[in-house]
Amino acid sequence: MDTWAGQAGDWTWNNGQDVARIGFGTFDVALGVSMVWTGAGTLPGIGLIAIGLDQLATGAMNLRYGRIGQGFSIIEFGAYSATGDATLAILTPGILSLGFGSLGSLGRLGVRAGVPGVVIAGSGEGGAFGLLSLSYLGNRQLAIHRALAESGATAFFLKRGVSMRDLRAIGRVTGDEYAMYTLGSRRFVIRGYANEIRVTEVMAAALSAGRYGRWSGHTHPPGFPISASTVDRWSIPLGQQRSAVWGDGGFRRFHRTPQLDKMFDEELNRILMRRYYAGQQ
Amino acid sequence: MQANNKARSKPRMDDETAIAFASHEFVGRHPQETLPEWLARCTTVSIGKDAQRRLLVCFCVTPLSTNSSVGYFTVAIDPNTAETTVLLDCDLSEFVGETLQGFVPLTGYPWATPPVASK
Repeated sequence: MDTWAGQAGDWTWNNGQDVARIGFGTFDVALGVSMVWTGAGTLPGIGLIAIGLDQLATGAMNLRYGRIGQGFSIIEFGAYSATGDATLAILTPGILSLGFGSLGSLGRLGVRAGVPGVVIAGSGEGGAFGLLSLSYLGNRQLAIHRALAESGATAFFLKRGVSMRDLRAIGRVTGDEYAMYTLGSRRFVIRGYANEIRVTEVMAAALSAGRYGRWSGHTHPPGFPISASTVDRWSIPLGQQRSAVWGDGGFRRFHRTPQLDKMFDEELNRILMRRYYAGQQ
Repeated sequence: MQANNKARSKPRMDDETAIAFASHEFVGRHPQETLPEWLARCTTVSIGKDAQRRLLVCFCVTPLSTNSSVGYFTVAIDPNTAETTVLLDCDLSEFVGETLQGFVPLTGYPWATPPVASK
């Protein structure tokens, strides 16, 4: 028994550092993947994954083949080459890991609090507004509201199952903004956080690239102006010229620049009227 | 039956088309060159229906002070014939752009390309 315990103690004494490497490496990789996945921080997440893989590979190699020299990982070797300090080299992955983790935690706290990083629509300064009760909503609007029960929620609907008027009505109850994208026969709706619609970096890129379809429009909460903000204009997806914002007093079309906001564009109106008359014949 | 089919094939006037007819009517009464450049950016549109099922298109502006929209041009449009009836047509000189929501001096957007004058 003493012999077995002694051997186990020796093994732990000799290999404990590498087992710890594998443990921390696995933790870093998992944390990094989670940060990238949730959008809490892509770059810190990738940094953590790199450190984790470095530690995992070094720990496994050291356990399997025994340490060569001081058994440094790539990052530790780099740090040792730069500073010539072995202690600092061994501490470097931990310091980097702590730094990346802290950066990610800031973003993660935001995500947990329901505030992802990228604002894709906002309504600027607003006044006080009185929210209406749920009884204001019809059955269809109640069903949509239940599907988007919390700020930040997203849901797909059939095209005929939701309209901007529904979202505007629901916004009068919740006080949140809503954005709607249309792709084929489906609509993708995002519920915002009060007067902002925030999404993860990954989703913002997909929306901007038009992968969720055309940005049919978004609502501004009651009491907020319906002027298109700069971020609204910037968020019009590629290949789309304009979108619209619904709020108090109706809706307003907006383009990428204020100069292009033409409500009384005769050419556009002529096209629409011609299409109507062509359908009459 | 034939009449039914004909009725069914009639295009339903959507909101965009109704706005186009209303805008056409508006520009007919207020030539484009007389319109203040901020008007389009400050205008909101609300659409409803009246008792005769006509589409009511209202062009509104919203004063910053009240945050409550004020209609300046309202037109009723028959969805079947596109016949328009103007119900309200205010004098635009009553409004001051700087006091309205949506009024943004174009110089406030340094990233925006300046409008190119057409030849």
